[in-house]
Amino acid sequence: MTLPEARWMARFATERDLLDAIPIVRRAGATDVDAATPVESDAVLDSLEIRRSRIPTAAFFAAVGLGVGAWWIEWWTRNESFPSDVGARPNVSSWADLPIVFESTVLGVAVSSFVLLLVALRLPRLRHPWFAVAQFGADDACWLAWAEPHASSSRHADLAAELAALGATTILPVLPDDAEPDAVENGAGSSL
Amino acid sequence: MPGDDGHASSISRRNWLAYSAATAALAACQRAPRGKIIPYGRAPSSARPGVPIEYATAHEVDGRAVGLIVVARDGRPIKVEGNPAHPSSVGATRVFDQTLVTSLYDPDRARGPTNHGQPASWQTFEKAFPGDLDARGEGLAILLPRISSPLVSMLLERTKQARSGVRVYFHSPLEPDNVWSATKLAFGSALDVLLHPAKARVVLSLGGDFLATGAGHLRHARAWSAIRRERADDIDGMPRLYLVESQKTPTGAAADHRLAASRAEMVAIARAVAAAVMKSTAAGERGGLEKAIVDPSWEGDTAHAPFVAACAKDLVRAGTDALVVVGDDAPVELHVLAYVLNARLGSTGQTFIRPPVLAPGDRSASIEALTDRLSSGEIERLLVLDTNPVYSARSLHFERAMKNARMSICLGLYENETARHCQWFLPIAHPLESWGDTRAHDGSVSVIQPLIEPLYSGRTAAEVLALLLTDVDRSPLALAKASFGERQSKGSFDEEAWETSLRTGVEAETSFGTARPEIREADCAEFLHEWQVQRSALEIHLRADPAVHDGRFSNEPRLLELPDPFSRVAWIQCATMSPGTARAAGIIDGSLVRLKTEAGEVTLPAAIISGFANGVVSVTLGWGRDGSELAARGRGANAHSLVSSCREWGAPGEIAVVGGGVPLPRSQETDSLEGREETIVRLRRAGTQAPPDEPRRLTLFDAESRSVHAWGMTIDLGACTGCNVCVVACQVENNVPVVGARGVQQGRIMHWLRIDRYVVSDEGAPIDVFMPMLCQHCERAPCEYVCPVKATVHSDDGLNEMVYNRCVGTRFCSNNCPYKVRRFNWFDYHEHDTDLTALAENPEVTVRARGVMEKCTFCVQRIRTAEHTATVEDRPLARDEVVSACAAACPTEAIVFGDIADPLARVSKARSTAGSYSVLGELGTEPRVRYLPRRRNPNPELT
Amino acid sequence: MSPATVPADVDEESDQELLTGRARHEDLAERLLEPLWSTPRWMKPALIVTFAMTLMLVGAVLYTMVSGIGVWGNRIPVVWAFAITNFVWWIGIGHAGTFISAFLLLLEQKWRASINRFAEAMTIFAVMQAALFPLLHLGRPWYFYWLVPYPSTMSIWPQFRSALTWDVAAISTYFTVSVLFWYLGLVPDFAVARDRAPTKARRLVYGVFALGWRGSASGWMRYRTVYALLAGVAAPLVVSVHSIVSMDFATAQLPGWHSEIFPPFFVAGAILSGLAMVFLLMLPVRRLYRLEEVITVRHLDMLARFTLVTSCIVGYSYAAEAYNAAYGGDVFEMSQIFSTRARGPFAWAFWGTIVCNVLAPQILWLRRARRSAPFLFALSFAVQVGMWVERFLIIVASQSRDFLPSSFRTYTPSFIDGTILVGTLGCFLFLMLLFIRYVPFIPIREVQRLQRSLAEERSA
Repeated sequence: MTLPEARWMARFATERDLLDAIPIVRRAGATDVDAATPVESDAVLDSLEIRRSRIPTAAFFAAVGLGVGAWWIEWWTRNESFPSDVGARPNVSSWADLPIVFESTVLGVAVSSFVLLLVALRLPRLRHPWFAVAQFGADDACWLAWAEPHASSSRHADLAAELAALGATTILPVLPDDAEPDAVENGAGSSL
Repeated sequence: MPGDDGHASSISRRNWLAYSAATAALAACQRAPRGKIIPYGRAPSSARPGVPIEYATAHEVDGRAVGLIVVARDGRPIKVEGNPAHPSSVGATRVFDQTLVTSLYDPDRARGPTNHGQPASWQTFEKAFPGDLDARGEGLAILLPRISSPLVSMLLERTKQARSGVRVYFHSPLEPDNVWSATKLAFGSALDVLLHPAKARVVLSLGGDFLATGAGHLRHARAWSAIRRERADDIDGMPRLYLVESQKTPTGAAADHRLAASRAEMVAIARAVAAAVMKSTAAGERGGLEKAIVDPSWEGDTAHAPFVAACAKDLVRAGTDALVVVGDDAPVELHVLAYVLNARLGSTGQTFIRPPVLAPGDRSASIEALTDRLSSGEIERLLVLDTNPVYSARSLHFERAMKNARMSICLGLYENETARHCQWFLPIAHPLESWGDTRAHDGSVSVIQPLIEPLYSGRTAAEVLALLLTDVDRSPLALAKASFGERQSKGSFDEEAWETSLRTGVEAETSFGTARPEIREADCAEFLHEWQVQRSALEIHLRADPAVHDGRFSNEPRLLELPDPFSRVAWIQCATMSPGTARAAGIIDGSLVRLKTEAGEVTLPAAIISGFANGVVSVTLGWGRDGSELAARGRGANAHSLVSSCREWGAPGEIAVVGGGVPLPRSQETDSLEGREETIVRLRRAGTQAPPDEPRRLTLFDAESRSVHAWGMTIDLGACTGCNVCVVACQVENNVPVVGARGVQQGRIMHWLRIDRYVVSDEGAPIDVFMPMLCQHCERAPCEYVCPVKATVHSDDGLNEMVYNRCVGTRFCSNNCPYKVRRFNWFDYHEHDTDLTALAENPEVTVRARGVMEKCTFCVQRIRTAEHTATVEDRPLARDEVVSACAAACPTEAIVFGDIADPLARVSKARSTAGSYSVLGELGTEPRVRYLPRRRNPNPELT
Repeated sequence: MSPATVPADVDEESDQELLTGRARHEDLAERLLEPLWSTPRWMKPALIVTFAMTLMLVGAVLYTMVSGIGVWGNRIPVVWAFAITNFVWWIGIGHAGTFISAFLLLLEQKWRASINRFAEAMTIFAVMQAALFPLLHLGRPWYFYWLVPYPSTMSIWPQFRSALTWDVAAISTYFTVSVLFWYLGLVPDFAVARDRAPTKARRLVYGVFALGWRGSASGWMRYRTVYALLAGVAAPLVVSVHSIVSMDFATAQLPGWHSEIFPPFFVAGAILSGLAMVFLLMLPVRRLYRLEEVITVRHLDMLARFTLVTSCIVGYSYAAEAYNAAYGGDVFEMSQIFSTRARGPFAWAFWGTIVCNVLAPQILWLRRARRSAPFLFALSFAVQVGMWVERFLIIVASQSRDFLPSSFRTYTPSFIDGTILVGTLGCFLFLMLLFIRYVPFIPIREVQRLQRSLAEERSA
């Protein structure tokens, strides 16, 4: 018999235990494997094989756009829209344009990357299934999250036992608290 | 004027109802005056709305008129210019001519007749006066200022005929009484001196300030600067001016050789010069005169020996081209001595003329005589017409004497000090509201015509005098015409001649003939022989204030805010002295001092300026007013109380510090050039090579001209006398606000055009240089490229334009302006403007809001108006058609404005003369204003 | 805190010194969250006082707005005076934050961890004060938006050759980036606060600010990318902003302003005053919250070294300015530097500046000085004053005596000028206090990371 997809979280005291657990969970055919750590950890990212973010690329184009836009406004207002004799200075004075172009470019990077981060992480949000998990975030423990598509209760029991052996103090189900599917949220293939 | 004892603010508080009512009346009707007044120059035109019309009239001060052309728009006068056809004006004006328009709308003006302080009406007055005056008019005394009006003299004549008992007296302060006494002694009758400085080649002035004060000074200044400019390269042809003075005067600043000497020293120097001249002119025979003068005990101070020797030699060499001038304030002896010298030299630079004023030097008609009569109770009725004896005859305590009169009447513009002590007060018609006539310094008659119906039921002095006569038409116009008829040789009234005289502003062939009468050498010799020079430790000198004159203009904020040419102090009356004098008395600049003479004492802040004679303190008249003039009230002290007689120009006295330093509101803090002469002020000696102009700098890009016209200006430092009239003219033309004493002290003075004064040294000799400084309209204006909102940009014809309503007030432009000519509206300087005061403002010029920059616009409104007219008349702009307000007012033509694209324009000719340079030219801002170096013609023997 | 308190087991000059005592082992999150849950006794009066000063500022600003700039001491030719002096000074203070967090992040300086949040907050609040002045000093502040190219039917645009329009761009960008950078750094710590908040209300509030952060691996990955990105762009801002501010002066032709050395000179000065302000704020907090084990003498030492370096650069700039004036021989430049400043009416400011900003910091060559909190506090105060006076000197002295002696004029500030300066100080401190009270002002997660890496180092 098969059960509907189930999501689980396992709590590990230390990051090292978590790292040992990740391959096991994956071998067990779990999907949407993700981890929650108090501080970022390269090791975890590596073992989860999360792909590099594409935010910088996007931010780059946003920045260039804003910079060029700023330069165009300066050029247009001075040469096309309303040319006037200011101190007998030539209308095309690009050196004077540079500071604003530079600042606009920087602004482009900052704002766009920040916005894109929120978009990528589906933030801001107040509620999330994980928050419902007991003890989550109560201390500096690490958590492993995964989903078992059509898994049978027996196979889950085996996995749980295995994880417990690796130091998982608790293994709890994650109850979907809202309709919004969280699948795309997870690492593999989902990063922007 | 926030923070200040504000004029405007106090106006707005003071019975605003009264004049808002008056204003309503103004708004309601165009107050075109009764009777036909004739526009200047062109045929009478029906006044079209918004189209300015010019009328010729005249402004009489101290019995000598200056012809004016007043611009009226929609029936209200807004600007005053000089009348080129008038002998005393030659197109120029004085500072207080310029402010006529603002004084017209002065809210402090008296609103109507009062009787014992209660509002009354002219009707009630006419009942009371002449009232029960007996037929002979016994016991009636009329007090007038020294007046030159043929109309008034006619009326006085008739009055005398009708009522032989009427007595007439004259009083105005600052009379040239010494001149009249001296001429009486030397020539037998009281005469005025008529100078022809342009005729002379060597001039010795003994305190004679003929370029800036006294009769006909505008004319003299014009002629003098013209001839100096013309002969700039000719070391012998260019008139050379030797000058000895105790104070500092514009003429002194313009001198080639100047000595600062107290009056006593001046006498010694004069005698020494005279002696030297006599020696060389009259070799051998030594008549009484020589004896009187060539007296060993009179040999001057040896320190001045070289000056004396060189000057005498120069005078003798010049012969008939020599001229000795003496200031009105000098003692009689000095005048006599000067006449003698001129006679000996055969000087053609000086002739004599009948004084235009009535009863010159007639003691029996003096205010002293009147005071005695009043005290002795001989006079029951006193009629004071437009003079203020209670203020200006302080030492006589006129107010006490007045109490003895049963009826005292005062006619004046303000309820002044005298009005307060009179039973009746009557408002006089403002000069711009009056019909009448007056004489120039040379006697030529001008008709005074009104530009506006009297605002407050004012009447002229003539109208009041006419009340004493039964057989005259009392309407002002009729009176003026009657007087005109008298002058007309042919019996019938010539309407055409009348209109012509109105149009031209001066009547032909009315000037007095000048003469060179025979000098009575014997009398002079005798007189000079008894000459006793009184020396005193400290001489206190009185003089007319360069701005408010004798006090009659002291309610003019714009005049009060005019910096003194030398001390640069505005709004405050100072006791001015030399550093030496100050050190001797332990005085520092701004410390409060008490001046004490036998007659009285005053307490004033001290202003210290170099170049004053040691042992001399100078105080200006016209302050310490206590009438209803709110702007004038409580400022300074009445210096008249220092002298015991109105004819005295000073007195020996003592000085003492009574208080700590009051920071003086100065428009300029230093007069040194900090070693920057080369790039700011250039001198040029006659006959020397002019310094080369700075080379044009290489630039990355060229400013191409995009218009047929290129407006520019040339300023001649050699001609500027620092008279300040351009400053006031600019204010009136461009609605420039005043900021009050505190504002001036904080450096917030708003003058678009200011006159900087520097003391530069020419081989050790300190030279005062006046430098009119205004927006230079740089072709590469540094103010423009720093403005973040494009509020100041360049026009095609080269004007540096200020867009007031775009300005946000970053003030970056002011920072980047090397000439610091930009002015900022720190407050809303117009918030206290009333509908009435606003009438004086030029409708062509925006009134600037708070928080915006402003500066000289080269009178862009005048340029555009001229261009529009030319376009309408389908013609090109005529050469020199556009004249800026400052250039128009300048007596010496030091400021020339015009189109530098036209090589034949006056401005182009001026700037192409040798030595013309641009201030701070090395900065590469390429100013449109160029300066001509300060001309000098020192005697080679003295350098 | 004196060197004596450094535990013996730490070999000095090494990063191990960055966390000392218990801070090496215990649960730092709990410890660093404590200030959020409790109000210290001194907090309330401090808040009241600074708030009163803030109200004073508001009053002075309104008065100025209603009456006009005339209520200040400004005059022709000194048209900028206090407002712009304060502006440049505050902006300068605002530099240390970004410098410490962004620059040192890129340089991978471990010691940045405990102090960067603090410095960033300081930056933001300082820039807030600074931004007040360019607006307020306008003759017609309500038209400030005319400096921005908003769509206008009149098609009148700003004049982009003017350095003031560059200012607008620079300041607004700098402020935005600083805020984003600061907030992004805060998100994980807000999350901790949320997860461990004692009450529901606080949980909710911090929850809102935490944006729903839960430290998922994928989140951390993007977070780090963006944080590095922001640091990367914030770093050049540190240089660009004050360079552009300096161009307000350098692009003018005023003697004493028109000088090519200004951009680097201003940046150095800015960082100097910024570091001084960090000391002035951090040292008291460190003492009050007993944070000597998290903000250790090692931190002080490193900051002090930076102070020394920047002060030397500033000193060099002073020398260069004088040298160029003398070498160029321009009469106006010479009289400005040597007559007006060195000997003239502004000599007090000139020499005072040199003593406070150049000579005094030289004491930091001594290790003891670098590690003595009281000394650093005193020194920072001197430097702070010195930097303000330096800006005053540059701005006012140059304006008051430029080209034509006729327009030379001495400057005296008005009472309102002083009120506004003091008021901004109060407002700044008020905001800082609120920050200390309600925001985790020591980056919890970063310090934990530091703690871990140090532990790894030790075990290795």
